[in-house]
Amino acid sequence: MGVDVNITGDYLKNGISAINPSVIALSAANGTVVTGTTAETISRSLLVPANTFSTNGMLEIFMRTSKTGTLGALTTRIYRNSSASLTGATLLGNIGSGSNLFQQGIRTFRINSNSITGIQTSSVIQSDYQALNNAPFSTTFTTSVDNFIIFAVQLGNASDSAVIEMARLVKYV
Amino acid sequence: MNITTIQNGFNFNNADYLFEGEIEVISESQCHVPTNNGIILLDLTCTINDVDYTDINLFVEALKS
Repeated sequence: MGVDVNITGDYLKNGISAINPSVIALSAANGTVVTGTTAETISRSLLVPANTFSTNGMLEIFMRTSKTGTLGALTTRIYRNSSASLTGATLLGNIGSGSNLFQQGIRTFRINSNSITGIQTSSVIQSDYQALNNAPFSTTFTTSVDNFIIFAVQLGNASDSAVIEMARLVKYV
Repeated sequence: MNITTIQNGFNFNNADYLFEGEIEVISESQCHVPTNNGIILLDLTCTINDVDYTDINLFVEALKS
């Protein structure tokens, strides 16, 4: 089942960090710049490798979008899929939708029994630290396979442009 | 990828989904489909019962039929 390695205080189990919490994936470089279209378009995707989670844990997702131009609205959504594609992707959250030039948001999900639960996807908010009358939403998150977390933007006017400037996935087990 | 319609839902990527709410068209080529396993984004790159569509509204009607 692999080799456990202790390197200067770090600890890897089967090649995956066992430090708690730990960064699964991070990008502080601009993703794909989205312009010339009003379709929902991937700007950045980050991979949660298979077996990052075993039975249960917490997945924290953080991102920032910036927009250039003020002709239309900006919508930023987060999805999960088994590939880095929006086709067939499952919506995890809507960070913002409005006449914004800056959208930065965070979500904390529970991973349990091959499912992921969090604040209802109908909540268009930057933070899920809320007290609501809606039950959490739930969808499949098979931990034994690769899962892609997709950060997508949608422009209200194709002449504007938007980009995911940074995104981060953190694991708590 | 192909979508196969089933009673009150569809099969996509070897998984069955049942409708739970109204389908929302979010762009000229994409829609959000509320299902028993979350909201799924489907688009015109998919065929429905092996038929291609170029109009998202016709695509939605075919999905529901």
